[in-house]
Amino acid sequence: MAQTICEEFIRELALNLVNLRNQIQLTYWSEQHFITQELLDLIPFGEILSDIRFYSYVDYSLDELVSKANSTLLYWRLSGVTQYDGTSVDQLSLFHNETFLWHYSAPSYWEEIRSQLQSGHRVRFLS
Amino acid sequence: MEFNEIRLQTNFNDNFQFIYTDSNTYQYKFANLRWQPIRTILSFPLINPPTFSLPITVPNALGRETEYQAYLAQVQNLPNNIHIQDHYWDSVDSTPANTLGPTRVNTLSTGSDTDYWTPTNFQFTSPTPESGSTNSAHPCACGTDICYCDT
Repeated sequence: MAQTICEEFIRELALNLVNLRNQIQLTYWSEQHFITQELLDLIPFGEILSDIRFYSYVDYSLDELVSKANSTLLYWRLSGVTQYDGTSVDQLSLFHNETFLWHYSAPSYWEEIRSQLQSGHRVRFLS
Repeated sequence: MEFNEIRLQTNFNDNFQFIYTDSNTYQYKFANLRWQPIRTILSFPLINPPTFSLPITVPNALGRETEYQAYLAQVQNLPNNIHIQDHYWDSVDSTPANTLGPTRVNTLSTGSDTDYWTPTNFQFTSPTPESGSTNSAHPCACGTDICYCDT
């Protein structure tokens, strides 16, 4: 019974996985490259974050982010995903893609960014 | 999670160039049988900060320019609130805390329309003397550099 529930759980999560190789807004260095779509949706790589967007994010999204990260970790564990040395995967570091941020995303807001900075507002991005 | 901030630097032509600095970092640490949020804040002047990094000057899209453009279109379709900073909180209604989640820890005010929810106690770290007061006529929940006020 427990085995069936576990298999069903893995199947359900597997349907919701995204391949990080296809996500040009971020970079990573790992053989393991699947996380849940729900987790990816909560990570604003490539976005220019105004004060409002930034504080909305850190005030309201961090708990959910932890929860979705736990789901991804659970999937890795239950499905037996391992690293190059055979040990279980328990973490994955993601970084912003510099090409996308500085040559695609930010340039489309240069004037607004400059204006906001000169007005004393902060402009952030997830790195 | 680590955030960086975009900054301006004046160059020899008296023009500006974009640079970036470190900013806020958020971590969850498991201690005393619970997850505890840890926040680190690094703050630098918005213009000509003493320590900064330069953005890359040469793009490296690895032949995936079409994918980059497609994702840029997605990002551009997101609500762009960069230009609506000033008086933004005067123009929108605050969201009642009980619609946002079960772990509300901040109760700066008593009315349901003026409660704010946050997963941490961050807003208590930098209250402004007047607007952070619960006795204020216009209660505010203050973050590091802005306050969310119910006006």
